[in-house]
Amino acid sequence: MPNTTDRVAEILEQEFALRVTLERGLMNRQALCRWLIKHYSLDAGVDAIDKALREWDGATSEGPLQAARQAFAHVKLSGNSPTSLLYVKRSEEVHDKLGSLFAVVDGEEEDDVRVVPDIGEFLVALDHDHADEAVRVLGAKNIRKREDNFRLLRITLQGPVHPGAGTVALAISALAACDIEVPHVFTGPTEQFLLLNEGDVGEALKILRELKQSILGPDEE
Amino acid sequence: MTTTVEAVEKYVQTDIALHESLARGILNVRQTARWLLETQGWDTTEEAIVSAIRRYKPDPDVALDDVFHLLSESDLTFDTGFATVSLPSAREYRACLPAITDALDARDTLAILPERKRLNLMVDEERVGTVLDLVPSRAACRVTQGLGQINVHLQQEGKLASTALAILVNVLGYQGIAVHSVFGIIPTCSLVVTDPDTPAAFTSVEAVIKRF
Repeated sequence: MPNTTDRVAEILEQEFALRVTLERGLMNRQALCRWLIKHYSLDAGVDAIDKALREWDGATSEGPLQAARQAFAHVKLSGNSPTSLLYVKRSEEVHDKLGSLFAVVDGEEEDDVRVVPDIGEFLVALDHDHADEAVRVLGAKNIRKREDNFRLLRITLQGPVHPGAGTVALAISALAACDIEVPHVFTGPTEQFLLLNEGDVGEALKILRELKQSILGPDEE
Repeated sequence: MTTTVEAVEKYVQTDIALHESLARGILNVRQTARWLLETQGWDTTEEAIVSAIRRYKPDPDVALDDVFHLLSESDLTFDTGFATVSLPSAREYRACLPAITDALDARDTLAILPERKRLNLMVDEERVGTVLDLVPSRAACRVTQGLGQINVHLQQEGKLASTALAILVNVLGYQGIAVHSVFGIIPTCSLVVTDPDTPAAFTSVEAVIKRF
């Protein structure tokens, strides 16, 4: 049976949110001790848990979230293009034709094609107006499923800070908190794409614009 | 126009660690208010933030226990040895794409993702030379080698799955592992990280998943 210090360290290893909050020094330690005793049925008193917490040596790691927020304050949000999704069999025949899809949209950046991997398939996202032609190019027999009820929301990173996918995690969290599901996400180094259900896109843009504004801070009381 | 209440609400909704600690009632509210004032540089007062935090009610519908439970039931694999070749999106480069996909095997290409004036191809690292042989100018292309990907298959779609994806990205970030790209065809997500990081990233994701 592990001693209290080891058990607390083991719990903190698994409890990402507790660890981060402790590292930031934002924890009500008495409340945390009581919560740990109750939640993990620890056979130890508040003082012993508190001692174990003090022995645990966390290293502050504020970088990723703050970098993501700093970057998000400067992103450009755009989109609203009606987008179709094709779930295409991952075969040599289909693969050879993928490049030809880019001829279908003829180099229009806003109408571009996105090909991303899924299990045993490629998922092809493209402007709704080009979907019929894409089905023809790829071969109808190779299309497992087609969905036409999506809109593409584009997050373009503008500032000098490029925190990888942190900004998209921030956006997804904000949307999830407002009951908006993000069915598909594709990110690259400078642009990130959320594919949203058609009915959600207006509200999603509003939420993300508010998020940007909130990062810049309160400007009225 | 954003008020302190709105700013605090938005912050907590997007900071999973703070949200969970607040929901569990184990946050030191005043210390948190000071920390927000310090780190966010907001033009408001500590008292206004304290009051906003106390007013904030975490949404029970996004209980993280449910998200972690979903993660615990997910399948996890990882692969290494990928590269990204970023081509200019000019017409002459786009015209090369049919020849490129023809030259590569289906298992060699992971993604084709256009961005501002670039076309990013994610391919097997050993096939980078094949791609570069087919473009008008190698010099105009940017190659990032040594990428790996963690594949997570969640067992359901919906809001919980979206939140789970955000948590995974955050967990890796806190471990000092940057996620370069995400391909989330929810319920499946692939997180692309640099190759030397992949085993560490895999262990981090596993640790989160094993929480239950």
